[in-house]
Parts: sequence; structure tokens; C-alpha cells
Amino acid sequence: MAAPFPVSCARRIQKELTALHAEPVPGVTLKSGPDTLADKSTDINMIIKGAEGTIYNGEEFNLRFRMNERYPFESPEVVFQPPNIPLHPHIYSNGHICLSILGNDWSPALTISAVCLSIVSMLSSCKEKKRPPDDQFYIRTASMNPKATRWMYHDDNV
Amino acid sequence: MVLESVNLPSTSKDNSSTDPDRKKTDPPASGSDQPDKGDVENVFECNICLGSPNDPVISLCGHLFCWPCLHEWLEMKPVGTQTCPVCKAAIDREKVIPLFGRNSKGEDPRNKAVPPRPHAHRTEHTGPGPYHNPLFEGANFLPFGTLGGPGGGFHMTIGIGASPFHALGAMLGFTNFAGQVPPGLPSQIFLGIAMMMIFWLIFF
Repeated sequence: MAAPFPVSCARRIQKELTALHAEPVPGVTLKSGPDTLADKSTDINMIIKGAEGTIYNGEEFNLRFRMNERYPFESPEVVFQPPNIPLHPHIYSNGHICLSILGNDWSPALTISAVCLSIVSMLSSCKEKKRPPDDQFYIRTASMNPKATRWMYHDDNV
Repeated sequence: MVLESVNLPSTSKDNSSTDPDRKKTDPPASGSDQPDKGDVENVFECNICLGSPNDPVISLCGHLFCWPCLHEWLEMKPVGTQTCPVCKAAIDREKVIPLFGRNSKGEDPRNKAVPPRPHAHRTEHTGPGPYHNPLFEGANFLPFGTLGGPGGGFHMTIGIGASPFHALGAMLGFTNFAGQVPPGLPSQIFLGIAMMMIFWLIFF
């Protein structure tokens, strides 16, 4: 089981959830999260709704955040949960997302809200529903944790 | 006005359950050790732990952090690639400014797992000293005038140019106090003496 969470880390997550509740990101709702500060499981589940006027209009996706005890110095593990995984050129069919702020460009000043906003924007700017070109190869070889992947960020268009 | 702001926490608590819009300005106090007092207070939160800053420091780009938080972040990146978590401007530990409030907190040293904050940058005023004498302007090495004098420390520089020769001349008595070298003395002698002095300084 995971190491006990430092108080500072738990407090920050709690603060983020409070802020998320006070100022929700449009199209994003909190489904479930750790109930108390002492909770060792830090899975936070969000529901992301496809925005109106985009190709994902009306669809709903489950997004899971999992923080380790190094959060916020290390990025959270963020994956879409089956069964409904958005068809997007940067989202693999196992739910892994190729997004620079979840890897090399992570900063501890980023928050759950900021990541959600980024993902909503990534979905909204997409014009064509398709999987990444290396999807089949990736899902066979990838670890469960997207953070174990060495991501290449080469497409800034979507 | 003062009464109003003092009463704010209790009124916001009453309203938060009935009026959801109210939460934007007065977030509920639950989940933090100190009550949030609205957006004005949030301005002074650490950008990393989102709490009230402990050993606050500010980056040159103006972003506020706890020193322990920022230190932990800086430690994760090689020197030279460190960036501000908020704006990605270049940042390094020598270029953050500690903030000192009037009442410094009684910090628990057990929590001090990180080195203390960097020192504040203070620059002394660098004008001419109180005993500045224009006659000795050319002399870098003054044998009597300033050594241990009330002006402070003992300064000595060795350079190439006319001034060290003036100084040597003054030291060896070839010159009056105006710092004039008598004409006719071959400069090679002074060069030799200067070289000997340099060797003496280096090896003894």
C-alpha cells in the first residue's frame, strides 16, 4: 500500500478540492474524492462533459487523478477510465493522455483545476476523432502508470 | 467598516449553506488550519502548498512561496534549468528575496528539514571614504596614510600602469608626498622591484 501521506500534501489536495467546489471548471464535475485528510487513497474521479459545439458534444468521460506522496512536486497520474475513452489523437485507448503538463512541463503551481481545464481545451480544439498513430503498439507495451512512459510532445495543434 | 470585516467570518458561515454564490468570495473554512478570509487573503498564499507561507520568499518575477516548498522544487531540477513554478521564468536560489514581517513566527526547528533561507542581499554604500585625499589618488599602495586608519580596512591592489610605480616610489622615499617620481630613474628598476614584491606576496 502507498506510503502515508504527508500532512502538507493532504492539505493541499483538500484545498484544491475546496477551490474546485467553489469555482468549478466549466464542463467538469467532481465525482468522488478522498473524504478526509487522513485518507490514504487519493483517487479523485472527475466527470468531463464534451463541450457544446465540439465533436464531443453530449459525451461524458471519467477522468481519474491519482496523487503520490510527492505531490505537488510530482505530477499526478491522470488517465481516462473505461468504458468511455475519448477518441482523440493524443489519448490512447487505455486512457493514457499525451499532455506535456502531465510530464516534463509539470509545475507545482498547477492544480487539478488547471489540468482539467487543459484537458477540456484539448478535447474542444480537436477537429477529428481518431486514435494516436502508435496506439496499438503503445497499449501493448505501456505500463499501467502513464508516468512510466517517456512521452514525446511533438504536436501542438490539438 | 472595521466591525463589518470582523463579523465577516460568522456571517459567511451562515450564508454559505443558503446562498451558493456567496462561496466565491467567502470559501468555507473547513479543511485548513486557518480560516480563509476571502480573496484578499488568498493573494498571500504560497503558490505551491496553497497555504499561508512559512519562511516566505519571493522570486524576482514576483511570485510568493514558502522557502521549504520552493527549495524542494529547486532541488528537483539541475541548476540552470530551474524555473518559476508559476510563470516559468528563470529562477535560482541566489535570486529569491526573503520576506520579513514584523513578527517572525516561532518556527518549530524539527520541521526545518531544509537549509535555511538564503541571505538577504544588502549592498553597502560605495562612495569615497571620509578620509579621501586627492593627493594619493594615483597610489594604490599607501604605506602610512590609511593603514589601520579610521577609514576602515587595509586595501591593496596591484595593477599594471603608472600608479603602482608611484606607490613604490612613495614607499621607497624616492618621491615627495605629492606622488611624483623623480625623472631619470630607469623604470626597469621599479619593474624589478614590483616583480620581487609580487613573488614575495605569492610565496610568503
